[in-house]
Amino acid sequence: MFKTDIAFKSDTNKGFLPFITAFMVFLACITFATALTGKYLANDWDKKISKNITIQVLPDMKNKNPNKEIEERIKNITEILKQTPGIKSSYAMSMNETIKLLKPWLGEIGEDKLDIPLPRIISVEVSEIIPLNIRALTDEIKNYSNLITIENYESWMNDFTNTISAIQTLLGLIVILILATTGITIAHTTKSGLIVNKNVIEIMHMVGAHNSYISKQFSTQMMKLSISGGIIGYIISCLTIYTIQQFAIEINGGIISNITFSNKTYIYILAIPIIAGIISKITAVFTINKTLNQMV
Amino acid sequence: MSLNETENKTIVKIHNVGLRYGTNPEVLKDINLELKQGDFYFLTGASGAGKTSLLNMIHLAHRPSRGKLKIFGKDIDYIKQNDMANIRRKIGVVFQDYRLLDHLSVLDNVSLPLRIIGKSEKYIQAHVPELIEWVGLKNFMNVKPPFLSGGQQQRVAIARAVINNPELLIADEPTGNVDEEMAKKLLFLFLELNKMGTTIIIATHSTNLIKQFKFPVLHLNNGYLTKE
Repeated sequence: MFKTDIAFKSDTNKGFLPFITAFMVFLACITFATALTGKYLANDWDKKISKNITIQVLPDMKNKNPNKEIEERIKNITEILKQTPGIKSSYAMSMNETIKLLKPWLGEIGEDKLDIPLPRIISVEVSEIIPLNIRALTDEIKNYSNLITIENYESWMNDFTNTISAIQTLLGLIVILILATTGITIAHTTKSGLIVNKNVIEIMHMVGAHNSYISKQFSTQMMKLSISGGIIGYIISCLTIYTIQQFAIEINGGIISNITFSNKTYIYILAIPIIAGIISKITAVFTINKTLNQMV
Repeated sequence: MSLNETENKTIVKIHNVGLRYGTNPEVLKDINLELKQGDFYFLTGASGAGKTSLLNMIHLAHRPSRGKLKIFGKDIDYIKQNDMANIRRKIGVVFQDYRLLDHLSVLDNVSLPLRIIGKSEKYIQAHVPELIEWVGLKNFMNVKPPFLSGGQQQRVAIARAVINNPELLIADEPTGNVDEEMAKKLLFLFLELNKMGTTIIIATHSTNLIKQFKFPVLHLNNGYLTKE
């Protein structure tokens, strides 16, 4: 057990420092975990969405029988898709399915009675193994018919990923800010601790203690207090993350259910109390040496 | 009084030193003093004459306002911080107000100079309890200073000052709070150290001690030092 000659037992820092470190580590852990979750969310969406392409086939209004004509084009497009490398499968929604899809807007109508032209949708699943040349496919389909739109979500996903990256950077800066604030707090706490123990330090100097001896005792003690606070902050943040995760699972739908914290999150955020401990040690040593040099 | 003077090295050399606190008048004036290895001096003077200031200056708690002070051959104007600590390790100090660490036990207080120089716990356990027993505090080994009487605290302070066999021992009224028998016993401890070559300077008001031990006396009067 580390033996100390400095009177920490009567020092108010003993209660304050772990508390403030726990609070700061909790904030930093939650912020860091949120940044990580943003990344997982973006990756998850990217995986799901990038596997799908939607082709919208618009009716030819110049044709006398557009709903019949559209069937022909869908057949041909489906054929093109079958021959395109990188396409796993495609599914053209039938007229009935399209009517069901548009029911909220069109009301209850039968296929046989339908005389208004309707656009049709072909859902395409992209292969995960064979790469797809989306540009070549788009050109080929457009050459065949210009009454077609292709949605591959790529640009939308790019915007989304960019936004997530910007948020992550911001959250990273907040984590740095929190840790810097922790460092400043530790510096002030260390200084006040030294002032409280000034008499003890003077006596130690008088009996021949080098600054390094006093500094080692003090900084190790400060680091122990910070780490104990850091561990408390880490445990509380883990419990909070776990609770949010359970809540998201229970909701089971919408964007919130996608907010899942990977098990790795708990390992990654463990870096926060460790960094806080290192910061406290470095800050304490720097502050102590500076203050002790002024004391001698 | 001392060993053969030609063999003895100078421990403290004070030349034309003055000491003042802030902008106040000098409390020590034109002090000249040379302490050699093995010297034993009593320091006397009325209250406020500057005894504690002189002793504080010798153990480097204060720097002189003017003049030259050399300790163990080193000019304190040019001493580096680490050297200052190394010099202090050679000096044992019994403070007038004891200056013990209230949160540490008697054993830990006396062990402090040994811990600071990195002595092992085995060494500490072998030497410290013996000395504490010698100063009559065997049953107070684990007691903290606030629970000791003034005389007991004084003996702890003395034990802490001598545990490291210092080359220079400075004691400010070391027997002020102990009975005559204990005072004599402590003086004999100082004598033993002196015989081993420790230079000793003791500030005291006790004319009995001065008469009994017949060591040379330094007298401070109104900031001026004279040798009797």
